[in-house]
Amino acid sequence: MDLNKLTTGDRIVAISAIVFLIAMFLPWYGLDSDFGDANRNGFDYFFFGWIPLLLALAMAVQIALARFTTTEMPKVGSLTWGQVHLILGGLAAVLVLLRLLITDSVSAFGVDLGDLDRKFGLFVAMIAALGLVAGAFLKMQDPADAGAAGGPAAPPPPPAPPTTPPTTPPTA
Amino acid sequence: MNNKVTPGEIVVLAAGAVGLIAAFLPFYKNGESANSFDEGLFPVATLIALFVVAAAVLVALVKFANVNLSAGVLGFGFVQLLLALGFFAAILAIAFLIAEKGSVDFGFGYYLLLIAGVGSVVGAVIMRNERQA
Repeated sequence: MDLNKLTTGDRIVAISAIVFLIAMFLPWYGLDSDFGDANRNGFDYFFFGWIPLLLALAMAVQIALARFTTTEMPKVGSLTWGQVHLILGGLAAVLVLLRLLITDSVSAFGVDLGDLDRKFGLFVAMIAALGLVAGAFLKMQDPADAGAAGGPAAPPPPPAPPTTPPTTPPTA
Repeated sequence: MNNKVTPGEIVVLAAGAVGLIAAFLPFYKNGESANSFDEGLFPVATLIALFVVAAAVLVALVKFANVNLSAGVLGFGFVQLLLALGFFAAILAIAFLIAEKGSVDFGFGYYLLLIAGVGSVVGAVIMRNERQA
Protein backbone atom coordinates (compact mmCIF):
# COMPACT_ATOMS: atom_id res chain seq x y z
CA MET A 1 0.00 0.00 0.00
CA ASP A 2 1.75 3.10 -1.28
CA LEU A 3 0.51 6.12 0.67
CA ASN A 4 2.22 8.39 -1.83
CA LYS A 5 -0.64 7.63 -4.22
CA LEU A 6 -2.94 9.67 -1.99
CA THR A 7 -3.52 13.28 -2.92
CA THR A 8 -3.82 16.00 -0.28
CA GLY A 9 -7.62 15.84 -0.55
CA ASP A 10 -7.56 12.06 -0.12
CA ARG A 11 -5.42 12.35 3.01
CA ILE A 12 -7.65 14.99 4.58
CA VAL A 13 -10.78 12.92 3.89
CA ALA A 14 -9.18 9.72 5.22
CA ILE A 15 -7.84 11.36 8.38
CA SER A 16 -11.16 13.14 8.97
CA ALA A 17 -13.04 9.86 8.63
CA ILE A 18 -10.77 8.22 11.20
CA VAL A 19 -11.12 11.19 13.56
CA PHE A 20 -14.91 11.05 13.13
CA LEU A 21 -14.90 7.35 14.01
CA ILE A 22 -12.91 8.11 17.18
CA ALA A 23 -15.23 11.03 18.00
CA MET A 24 -18.20 8.67 17.91
CA PHE A 25 -16.89 7.01 21.08
CA LEU A 26 -16.37 10.32 22.89
CA PRO A 27 -19.11 12.07 24.88
CA TRP A 28 -21.31 14.36 22.74
CA TYR A 29 -23.85 15.43 25.33
CA GLY A 30 -23.90 14.88 29.04
CA LEU A 31 -24.94 15.93 32.48
CA ASP A 32 -22.57 16.57 35.38
CA SER A 33 -24.11 16.35 38.81
CA ASP A 34 -23.13 15.69 42.38
CA PHE A 35 -24.41 12.16 41.97
CA GLY A 36 -22.17 11.40 39.00
CA ASP A 37 -21.83 12.02 35.28
CA ALA A 38 -23.97 10.66 32.48
CA ASN A 39 -22.99 11.02 28.85
CA ARG A 40 -24.33 10.21 25.40
CA ASN A 41 -21.87 9.50 22.62
CA GLY A 42 -22.26 9.55 18.85
CA PHE A 43 -23.64 6.04 18.71
CA ASP A 44 -26.68 7.23 20.69
CA TYR A 45 -27.76 9.39 17.74
CA PHE A 46 -28.92 7.64 14.60
CA PHE A 47 -29.37 10.59 12.25
CA PHE A 48 -26.68 12.82 13.72
CA GLY A 49 -24.12 10.11 14.49
CA TRP A 50 -24.59 6.87 12.57
CA ILE A 51 -25.56 8.44 9.22
CA PRO A 52 -22.58 10.87 9.10
CA LEU A 53 -20.29 8.00 10.17
CA LEU A 54 -21.55 5.80 7.34
CA LEU A 55 -21.10 8.65 4.87
CA ALA A 56 -17.53 9.27 6.10
CA LEU A 57 -16.69 5.57 5.87
CA ALA A 58 -18.14 5.40 2.36
CA MET A 59 -15.85 8.26 1.33
CA ALA A 60 -12.80 6.58 2.87
CA VAL A 61 -13.60 3.22 1.27
CA GLN A 62 -14.01 4.81 -2.18
CA ILE A 63 -10.60 6.45 -1.82
CA ALA A 64 -9.01 3.17 -0.73
CA LEU A 65 -10.55 1.29 -3.66
CA ALA A 66 -9.59 3.95 -6.18
CA ARG A 67 -6.00 4.40 -4.99
CA PHE A 68 -4.88 1.01 -3.70
CA THR A 69 -6.70 -1.48 -5.90
CA THR A 70 -7.16 -1.94 -9.62
CA THR A 71 -10.92 -1.54 -9.28
CA GLU A 72 -12.30 0.78 -11.92
CA MET A 73 -14.74 3.17 -10.30
CA PRO A 74 -18.09 3.39 -12.10
CA LYS A 75 -19.29 6.76 -13.34
CA VAL A 76 -22.00 8.34 -11.23
CA GLY A 77 -24.10 9.97 -13.91
CA SER A 78 -22.51 13.25 -14.90
CA LEU A 79 -20.95 13.73 -11.46
CA THR A 80 -17.24 13.39 -10.82
CA TRP A 81 -16.11 11.43 -7.77
CA GLY A 82 -14.86 14.68 -6.26
CA GLN A 83 -18.39 16.08 -6.49
CA VAL A 84 -19.84 12.89 -5.00
CA HIS A 85 -17.46 13.28 -2.06
CA LEU A 86 -18.53 16.90 -1.60
CA ILE A 87 -22.20 15.87 -1.54
CA LEU A 88 -21.55 13.11 1.02
CA GLY A 89 -19.30 15.29 3.17
CA GLY A 90 -21.75 18.17 2.96
CA LEU A 91 -24.63 16.05 4.18
CA ALA A 92 -22.51 14.67 7.04
CA ALA A 93 -21.48 18.18 8.08
CA VAL A 94 -25.06 19.49 7.94
CA LEU A 95 -26.28 16.69 10.20
CA VAL A 96 -23.51 17.15 12.78
CA LEU A 97 -24.02 20.93 12.69
CA LEU A 98 -27.71 20.44 13.46
CA ARG A 99 -26.79 18.26 16.44
CA LEU A 100 -24.44 21.01 17.59
CA LEU A 101 -27.05 23.76 17.23
CA ILE A 102 -30.05 21.90 18.66
CA THR A 103 -29.29 20.87 22.20
CA ASP A 104 -30.28 17.47 23.44
CA SER A 105 -32.51 17.18 26.47
CA VAL A 106 -33.44 14.50 28.91
CA SER A 107 -36.93 13.59 30.00
CA ALA A 108 -38.55 11.00 32.21
CA PHE A 109 -42.21 9.94 32.26
CA GLY A 110 -42.99 12.63 29.70
CA VAL A 111 -41.53 15.39 31.88
CA ASP A 112 -38.71 17.47 30.42
CA LEU A 113 -35.86 17.48 32.94
CA GLY A 114 -33.73 20.02 31.11
CA ASP A 115 -31.08 20.39 28.45
CA LEU A 116 -27.86 18.39 28.41
CA ASP A 117 -24.46 20.07 28.08
CA ARG A 118 -22.38 19.82 24.92
CA LYS A 119 -19.23 17.76 25.43
CA PHE A 120 -15.90 17.82 23.61
CA GLY A 121 -16.68 14.76 21.45
CA LEU A 122 -19.34 16.73 19.61
CA PHE A 123 -16.85 19.47 18.74
CA VAL A 124 -14.28 16.92 17.59
CA ALA A 125 -16.96 15.36 15.37
CA MET A 126 -17.87 18.78 13.97
CA ILE A 127 -14.22 19.50 13.11
CA ALA A 128 -13.88 16.07 11.50
CA ALA A 129 -17.05 16.66 9.45
CA LEU A 130 -15.72 20.01 8.27
CA GLY A 131 -12.48 18.19 7.38
CA LEU A 132 -14.51 15.84 5.19
CA VAL A 133 -15.95 18.84 3.34
CA ALA A 134 -12.56 20.51 2.97
CA GLY A 135 -10.92 17.31 1.74
CA ALA A 136 -13.77 16.68 -0.69
CA PHE A 137 -13.48 20.24 -1.99
CA LEU A 138 -9.76 19.73 -2.61
CA LYS A 139 -10.53 16.43 -4.33
CA MET A 140 -13.01 18.17 -6.59
CA GLN A 141 -10.33 20.68 -7.62
CA ASP A 142 -7.87 17.86 -8.31
CA PRO A 143 -7.64 17.02 -12.03
CA ALA A 144 -7.27 13.32 -11.14
CA ASP A 145 -10.79 13.34 -9.66
CA ALA A 146 -12.37 15.40 -12.41
CA GLY A 147 -12.38 12.62 -14.94
CA ALA A 148 -16.10 12.27 -15.62
CA ALA A 149 -17.94 14.79 -17.68
CA GLY A 150 -20.20 17.22 -15.95
CA GLY A 151 -20.09 20.37 -13.96
CA PRO A 152 -19.97 23.77 -15.50
CA ALA A 153 -17.92 24.10 -18.61
CA ALA A 154 -14.30 24.99 -18.06
CA PRO A 155 -13.37 28.52 -19.10
CA PRO A 156 -11.85 28.75 -22.57
CA PRO A 157 -8.06 28.72 -22.71
CA PRO A 158 -6.36 32.06 -23.10
CA PRO A 159 -5.62 33.06 -26.69
CA ALA A 160 -2.29 31.84 -28.02
CA PRO A 161 0.45 34.43 -28.30
CA PRO A 162 1.07 35.77 -31.79
CA THR A 163 3.39 33.57 -33.78
CA THR A 164 4.77 36.29 -35.99
CA PRO A 165 8.42 36.90 -35.25
CA PRO A 166 9.23 40.17 -33.60
CA THR A 167 10.22 42.83 -35.99
CA THR A 168 13.83 43.77 -35.74
CA PRO A 169 14.57 47.43 -35.52
CA PRO A 170 16.00 48.81 -38.75
CA THR A 171 19.68 49.16 -38.67
CA ALA A 172 21.04 52.57 -39.39
CA MET B 1 -35.77 31.42 -23.64
CA ASN B 2 -37.78 28.23 -24.02
CA ASN B 3 -40.48 28.24 -21.30
CA LYS B 4 -41.87 24.82 -22.24
CA VAL B 5 -41.73 22.71 -19.09
CA THR B 6 -40.12 19.32 -19.64
CA PRO B 7 -41.26 16.08 -17.93
CA GLY B 8 -38.16 16.09 -15.69
CA GLU B 9 -38.90 19.60 -14.52
CA ILE B 10 -42.56 18.69 -13.89
CA VAL B 11 -41.45 15.77 -11.69
CA VAL B 12 -39.09 17.99 -9.64
CA LEU B 13 -41.76 20.71 -9.28
CA ALA B 14 -44.42 18.16 -8.30
CA ALA B 15 -42.07 16.56 -5.77
CA GLY B 16 -41.52 19.98 -4.20
CA ALA B 17 -45.27 20.63 -3.95
CA VAL B 18 -45.91 17.18 -2.46
CA GLY B 19 -43.02 17.61 0.00
CA LEU B 20 -44.27 21.00 1.15
CA ILE B 21 -47.77 19.67 1.84
CA ALA B 22 -46.48 16.45 3.41
CA ALA B 23 -44.40 18.40 5.93
CA PHE B 24 -47.64 19.42 7.66
CA LEU B 25 -49.30 15.99 7.53
CA PRO B 26 -48.89 13.24 10.16
CA PHE B 27 -45.37 11.81 10.03
CA TYR B 28 -45.84 9.43 12.95
CA LYS B 29 -49.09 8.26 14.44
CA ASN B 30 -49.91 6.37 17.59
CA GLY B 31 -53.25 7.58 18.81
CA GLU B 32 -51.99 11.13 18.49
CA SER B 33 -50.09 12.22 15.42
CA ALA B 34 -46.96 14.30 14.94
CA ASN B 35 -45.86 16.17 11.84
CA SER B 36 -42.33 16.97 10.74
CA PHE B 37 -42.23 20.20 12.77
CA ASP B 38 -42.99 18.47 16.08
CA GLU B 39 -40.44 17.74 18.79
CA GLY B 40 -38.24 14.77 18.01
CA LEU B 41 -38.75 15.10 14.27
CA PHE B 42 -37.61 18.68 13.73
CA PRO B 43 -35.25 19.35 12.01
CA VAL B 44 -34.31 16.06 10.34
CA ALA B 45 -37.77 15.25 8.97
CA THR B 46 -38.24 18.90 8.09
CA LEU B 47 -35.00 18.85 6.09
CA ILE B 48 -36.51 16.31 3.68
CA ALA B 49 -39.24 18.77 2.78
CA LEU B 50 -36.75 21.64 2.74
CA PHE B 51 -34.47 19.94 0.21
CA VAL B 52 -37.23 18.93 -2.22
CA VAL B 53 -38.82 22.37 -2.00
CA ALA B 54 -35.42 24.00 -2.59
CA ALA B 55 -34.94 21.87 -5.73
CA ALA B 56 -38.42 22.83 -6.98
CA VAL B 57 -37.78 26.53 -6.27
CA LEU B 58 -34.51 26.40 -8.23
CA VAL B 59 -36.28 24.83 -11.21
CA ALA B 60 -39.09 27.40 -10.98
CA LEU B 61 -36.61 30.28 -10.78
CA VAL B 62 -34.70 29.11 -13.82
CA LYS B 63 -37.82 28.26 -15.82
CA PHE B 64 -40.22 31.05 -14.97
CA ALA B 65 -38.11 33.89 -13.57
CA ASN B 66 -35.27 33.69 -16.10
CA VAL B 67 -32.67 33.32 -13.35
CA ASN B 68 -29.39 32.19 -14.88
CA LEU B 69 -27.81 29.29 -12.98
CA SER B 70 -26.00 27.80 -15.95
CA ALA B 71 -22.65 28.74 -14.41
CA GLY B 72 -23.42 26.40 -11.51
CA VAL B 73 -22.60 26.70 -7.81
CA LEU B 74 -19.40 25.47 -6.12
CA GLY B 75 -18.35 23.53 -9.18
CA PHE B 76 -21.75 21.86 -9.54
CA GLY B 77 -23.83 22.35 -12.65
CA PHE B 78 -27.55 23.19 -12.32
CA VAL B 79 -28.79 19.62 -12.76
CA GLN B 80 -26.04 18.29 -10.52
CA LEU B 81 -27.24 20.68 -7.81
CA LEU B 82 -30.74 19.25 -8.18
CA LEU B 83 -29.31 15.73 -7.96
CA ALA B 84 -27.47 16.64 -4.74
CA LEU B 85 -30.60 18.15 -3.14
CA GLY B 86 -32.69 15.15 -4.18
CA PHE B 87 -30.04 12.77 -2.86
CA PHE B 88 -30.02 14.59 0.51
CA ALA B 89 -33.81 14.29 0.76
CA ALA B 90 -33.99 10.67 -0.40
CA ILE B 91 -31.24 9.39 1.90
CA LEU B 92 -32.83 11.06 4.93
CA ALA B 93 -36.28 9.73 4.04
CA ILE B 94 -34.96 6.20 3.51
CA ALA B 95 -32.97 6.38 6.76
CA PHE B 96 -36.24 6.81 8.67
CA LEU B 97 -37.21 3.33 7.47
CA ILE B 98 -34.38 1.76 9.46
CA ALA B 99 -34.35 4.18 12.42
CA GLU B 100 -35.72 2.92 15.71
CA LYS B 101 -39.19 4.41 16.09
CA GLY B 102 -40.56 2.57 19.09
CA SER B 103 -44.25 1.78 19.15
CA VAL B 104 -45.36 4.45 16.69
CA ASP B 105 -46.31 3.89 13.06
CA PHE B 106 -45.57 5.97 10.01
CA GLY B 107 -48.33 8.35 9.03
CA PHE B 108 -49.16 9.08 5.40
CA GLY B 109 -47.16 12.32 5.64
CA TYR B 110 -43.99 10.23 5.90
CA TYR B 111 -44.87 8.17 2.85
CA LEU B 112 -45.57 11.32 0.87
CA LEU B 113 -42.19 12.75 1.96
CA LEU B 114 -40.49 9.51 0.91
CA ILE B 115 -42.19 9.70 -2.48
CA ALA B 116 -41.23 13.37 -2.80
CA GLY B 117 -37.57 12.66 -1.95
CA VAL B 118 -37.25 9.79 -4.40
CA GLY B 119 -39.28 11.73 -6.97
CA SER B 120 -36.91 14.67 -6.73
CA VAL B 121 -33.93 12.44 -7.54
CA VAL B 122 -35.81 10.77 -10.38
CA GLY B 123 -36.83 14.14 -11.78
CA ALA B 124 -33.24 15.38 -11.68
CA VAL B 125 -32.07 12.22 -13.49
CA ILE B 126 -34.76 12.71 -16.15
CA MET B 127 -33.66 16.35 -16.55
CA ARG B 128 -30.06 15.21 -17.00
CA ASN B 129 -31.09 12.75 -19.70
CA GLU B 130 -33.22 15.39 -21.40
CA ARG B 131 -30.28 17.76 -21.60
CA GLN B 132 -27.96 15.05 -22.93
CA ALA B 133 -30.46 14.07 -25.64
